[in-house]
Amino acid sequence: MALSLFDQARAIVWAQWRTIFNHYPRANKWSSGLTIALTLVWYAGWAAGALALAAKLSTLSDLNTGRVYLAYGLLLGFFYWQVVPLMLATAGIGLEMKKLVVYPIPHSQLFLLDAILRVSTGIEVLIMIGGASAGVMLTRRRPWWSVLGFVPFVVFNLALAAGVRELLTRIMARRFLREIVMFCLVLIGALPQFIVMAGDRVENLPTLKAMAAVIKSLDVLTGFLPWTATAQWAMGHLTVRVALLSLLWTIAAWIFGRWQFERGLRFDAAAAAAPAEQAAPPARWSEALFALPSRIFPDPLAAMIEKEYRSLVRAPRFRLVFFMGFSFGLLLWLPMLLNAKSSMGFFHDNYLTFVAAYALLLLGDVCLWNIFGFDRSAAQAYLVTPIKLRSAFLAKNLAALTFVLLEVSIVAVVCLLFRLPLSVSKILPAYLISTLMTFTLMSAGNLTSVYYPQPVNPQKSLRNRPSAKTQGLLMVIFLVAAGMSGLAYLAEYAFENRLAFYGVLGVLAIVVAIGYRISLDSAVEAAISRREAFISALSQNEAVITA
Amino acid sequence: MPSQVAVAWAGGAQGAQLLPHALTLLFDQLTGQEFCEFVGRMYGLARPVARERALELLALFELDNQQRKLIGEYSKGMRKRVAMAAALIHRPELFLMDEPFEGVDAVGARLMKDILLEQVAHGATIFLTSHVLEVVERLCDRVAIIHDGRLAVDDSMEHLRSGSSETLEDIFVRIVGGGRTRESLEWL
Repeated sequence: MALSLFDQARAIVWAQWRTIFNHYPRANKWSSGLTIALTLVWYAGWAAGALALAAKLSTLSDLNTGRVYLAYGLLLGFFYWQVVPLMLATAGIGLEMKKLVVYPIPHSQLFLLDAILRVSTGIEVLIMIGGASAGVMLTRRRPWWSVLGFVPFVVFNLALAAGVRELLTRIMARRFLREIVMFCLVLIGALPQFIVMAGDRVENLPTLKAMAAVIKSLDVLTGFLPWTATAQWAMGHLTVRVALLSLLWTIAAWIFGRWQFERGLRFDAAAAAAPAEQAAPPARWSEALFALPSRIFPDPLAAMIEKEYRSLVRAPRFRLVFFMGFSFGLLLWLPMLLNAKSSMGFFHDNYLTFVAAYALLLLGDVCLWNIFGFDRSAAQAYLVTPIKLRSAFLAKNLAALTFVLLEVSIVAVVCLLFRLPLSVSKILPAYLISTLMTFTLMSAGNLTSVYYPQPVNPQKSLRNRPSAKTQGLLMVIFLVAAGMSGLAYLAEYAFENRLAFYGVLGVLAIVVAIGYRISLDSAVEAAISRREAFISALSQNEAVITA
Repeated sequence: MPSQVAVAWAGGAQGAQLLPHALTLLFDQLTGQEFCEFVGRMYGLARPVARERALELLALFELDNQQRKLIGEYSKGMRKRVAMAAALIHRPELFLMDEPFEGVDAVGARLMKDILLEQVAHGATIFLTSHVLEVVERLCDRVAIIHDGRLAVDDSMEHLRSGSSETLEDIFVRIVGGGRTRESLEWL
């Protein structure tokens, strides 16, 4: 059999295409149709933008202004191109080149293919560059070779994207490091909204002013950056310096990409994820926390709660959402706190409760809605060992409640550390409402965990999004729980008395307790009666991924 | 790599070609047919030939009724079978396998063994690592035992037995497990 590099490249590109295609839902025709329609609309929007850019560039008279704006546009394109592959690597879309190392194909060729495949993750940028190229070509005042300025920029981005993706993939394979990276990415994602909503209150912060001054002082480097050189070339201002800069950046990116690619091929993800052989002894404070249930509850319930604590804190997915609860959540509500206008008075006064509710929404994904998702093997054990299934539900619920209350405490401590206005009269309702909402959500969650169980890989920081139907159902349940708690605030507003607030909370607590008891019994009964379907559902998909 | 393992092989091909059999090298977002077709094309088969062989192999391994299912949704046994199907598509002369029958049902395992022995009869070499010594004993004509990362034994099955009635398990335990002391647990 003759091995042709071209045929192999075609096979890899085809597999890449199938991988992306298979990633989207295929079972439902309507869903597939909607996906295709949305994709078309998405790219049509970019194409329209590219046409507008072409029209603008072709009629531009002030070349200096054009150069500046084009450089900014290319800078944005650079960020877009580098960020999208990072997101795809974390979500698992795209072929893993490392898996191709077993086939008879040289590494240098594999890297070339990998770099070319990065085109698929920067199509939007390429469409815009296409528009810019058309605009440059349509202008008679610029030489024909101006359009060639985009070529090294594209190669630079392809090689850099391949290298950065490899680098991030290796980082994400390491324990704890991946949570830190994901955490930073999420925080960076929330920053623009934070700055826009907080307005001039943030602009006046000394730290941001200092940062702006540092950025300003780096202006001198602007002329040496790849997007600036590309913009100069594309606007017809090609000098030896510009050509050299473009070439050097491209070569540097290629060397970086090739180096990272080679390291990626030799990287052992399983070894990186494994704990060190000489692991440090467990911290005393965490052991004390883990042993806490034994002081309150009898075995086997205490042992099961302890097992839940240990399992959850070791799951990257849980750690990420837990940290997001008091960081991202606080960042989300902070602008409202800073903009303390009269219309926002209610949010301002009860922001701790809102942050706690948001944290609860995040935690719900990992320890309320699908409580057997993380330990599908244990789910089988619960059904065949003498352990009462009811105890398993109780253990999981109590562990979830512990983490919810811990989350509220951390949010309160963070608020106090940042000297945000907080008093006992605000902290107590936050704890009470969080507890009430947690029990309401657990009542529904115990049932959804049995009727819609989904296996989840706890080692993944991000997980696949549930179906729109499931998401809608969960959101409705969450809103009902939040609405019930809202009744207490309504009572306080209506009677202008704090006692009314606590009175309604007391009544709600009785209702929720009865509801929880009924749902717990129903969930246990359902888990036993439909055990086959329950275990079978938990054995699907993700179960074999970790095999 | 485990510290104690039996490495065994059968046959003795010349000009061997490696094949990807490890389960971690499967592409979870492809279907079984797509993966087999892809492997065939990577080894130089024309696309129509690769597709035809992929369909035939999937039928042979009884995976043809799961055409729309992604490999990521396969059970462990199905993953082993699709890996085997992909391994066969370009008729390699050397098979490298790590616990090939683990997690495979009895019928599937028998089918895989028959196919492998048939390949050996046609001149292929099978190199497999396993802790299931009965399988090694039945399939392989040459055995190596690795103990604490070192090659402890490398000989033919015939020589290892040397006329005695010892099984491979007996030989293995004698070589790697002799120094072990059995601690008694009073409560057990």
